[in-house]
Amino acid sequence: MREMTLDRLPKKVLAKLDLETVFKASRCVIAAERLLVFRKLYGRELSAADIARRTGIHGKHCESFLDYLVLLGLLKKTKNLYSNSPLANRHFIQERSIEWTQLWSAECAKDFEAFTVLEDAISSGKDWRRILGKERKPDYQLLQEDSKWARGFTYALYDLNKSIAKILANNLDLSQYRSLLDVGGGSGVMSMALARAYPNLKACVLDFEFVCAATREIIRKERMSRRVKAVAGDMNKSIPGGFDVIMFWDIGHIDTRVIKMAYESLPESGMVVRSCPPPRRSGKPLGRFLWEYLSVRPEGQTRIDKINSLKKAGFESVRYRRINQSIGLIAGFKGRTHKK
Amino acid sequence: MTEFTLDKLPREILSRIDFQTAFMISRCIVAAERLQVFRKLKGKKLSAAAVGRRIGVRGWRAEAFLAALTSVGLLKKRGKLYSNTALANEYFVRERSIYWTRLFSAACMQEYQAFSVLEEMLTTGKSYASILGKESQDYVGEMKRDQDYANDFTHMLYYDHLPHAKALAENLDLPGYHSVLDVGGGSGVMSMALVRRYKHLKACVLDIEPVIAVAKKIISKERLTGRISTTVGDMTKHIPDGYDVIMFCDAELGDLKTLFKMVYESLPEGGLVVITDDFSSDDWTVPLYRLMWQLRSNSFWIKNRRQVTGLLRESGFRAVRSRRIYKDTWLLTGRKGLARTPRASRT
Repeated sequence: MREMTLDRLPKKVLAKLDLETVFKASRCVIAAERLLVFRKLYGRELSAADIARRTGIHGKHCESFLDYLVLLGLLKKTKNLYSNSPLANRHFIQERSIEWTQLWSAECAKDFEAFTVLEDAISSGKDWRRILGKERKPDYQLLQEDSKWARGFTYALYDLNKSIAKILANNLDLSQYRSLLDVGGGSGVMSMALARAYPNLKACVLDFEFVCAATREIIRKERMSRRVKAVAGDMNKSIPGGFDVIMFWDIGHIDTRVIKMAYESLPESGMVVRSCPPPRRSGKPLGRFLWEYLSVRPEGQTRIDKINSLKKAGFESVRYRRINQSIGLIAGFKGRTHKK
Repeated sequence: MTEFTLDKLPREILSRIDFQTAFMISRCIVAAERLQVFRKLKGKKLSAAAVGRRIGVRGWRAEAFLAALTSVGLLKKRGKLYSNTALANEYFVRERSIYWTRLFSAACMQEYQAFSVLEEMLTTGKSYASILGKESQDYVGEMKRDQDYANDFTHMLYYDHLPHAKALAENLDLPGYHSVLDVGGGSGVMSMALVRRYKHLKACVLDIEPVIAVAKKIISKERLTGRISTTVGDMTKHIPDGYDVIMFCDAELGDLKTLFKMVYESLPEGGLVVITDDFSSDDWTVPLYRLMWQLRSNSFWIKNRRQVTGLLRESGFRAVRSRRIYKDTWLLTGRKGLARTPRASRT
């Protein structure tokens, strides 16, 4: 899935949007996604009244809202009938699943609310949840408590990570290894790409039970059940043995204790792999700073911290390698006699 | 004032901002303006801690906040020191007054809150104020309550309307007229442009008392006290007579039928009504910001050009004309009776 970044908008649309108030346009896109406007219009030409009936938009606002989406280049209007523009069809239908539409737009709406108190939060040092008096459970808690949310989340990330999984498979040489433990591996999208790239490799996704239920469905659909399986577990409690590669891919903060457990579980010459964003001139990528605001505390672990945590756990020959613009990997080995 | 539209950002930066989450960076810029980051950094190079002290931002958040502004090309970081980029200096310091910085960023904040309940507004038809249990923003009431706010607001519009005033003076022929009543004229910026072009012309600015207090100072500073007078009044109740041009520039017009009737009665035969505003196109889609305001309102209040010119004709005005004079701003004119033949100039 490709992100619908601002550079994909026509120049005439960009020239209409003020940087300071583009939040309105952004929020309208979120609302359109939450109300499934582009999906209800897919392959159809409908009047504002028809769209109002299908999406639940009140008659009073429907035309203004749809006209605004026309101005953004996301809808077309011909003789009072609205239809999706090619831009909307490509980015909001063809390139994203319904699960991504539903989950991501709901998350964006919550994040939007979090930013209403930005000045208060950065001036007082208080967390935005405290200022708004709202409790928002972290993702890992929702994944354990809410089966529906966990399923949507797993499918959404499967969709999102397909392209990066291919890049990882092209950049991580596992030809000398036979078994991979994909810790917090979610949908198994990374494991499946690696198993496809290396016919001798079998993989096991370790994640929460509700996630694994969705993962098994995805693995079945992908006809990879013989090569990839999903096992329920909690990485903070134990890391199963019997694998010669252990991977932690894009799962946020990892406690040093967990890295040490991984070291203990690996055989001599086993490999550990973890994801790591590349360094930038300004310090960190744009998105990371904004997400840090949303998190309870800053991620804190820099590339050097991550490398050092592997070294501290006992791994040797620890190296960082950038695999595309937004992500890199750190690999380390148990013992000096590693296979590659 | 030139808007900082997205087309002015380098493509490389645009490619890093997702449309659906662009609100985050947009909101950071609103916060930067509210905390006056770019003004505090003008001509300076400061560490994150030093900027944090000046803008009142604590701990790790100062560094994170400044880095977000760096990522979007508004600040530069050399070593550990931050400074404004040329882009930030141009659009957030040179091109806008301090009054705009203060008021627009506060207004953006209210808009942001309104848009946090967008789906609810869209599906229930309620206004954001009723959903959030807040009072709707009433800037006229706020000016009556708070003279400092009236001072900022009037100054903000003075600077913001300078290009509109220039365009009005270039496009409106008033050689046969002698006196303009500038209704809801605020700082008097439009009147100033007209009396500078037409040496025989005198003008009077009509507005509420807190605004007139500020307008008097601005007119005096511009050395136009002999040509422009002021009067306190409420245009919804009474339009004074004795003027052969009655003008409304970006004024909140309210009930147009009643207003135009009062204007018609106040004007002498051959008198001229002049209206400038960002009127909507006939299909309501331009200008964009009005469509956004409409979305968060409780009722459909936008007037398009065709409606306003139609109401002018219904009120008895003849030779009703409209033409675009600056960006989305239109000039509408209408004449009472047939005595004179004023028109929008072709120059």
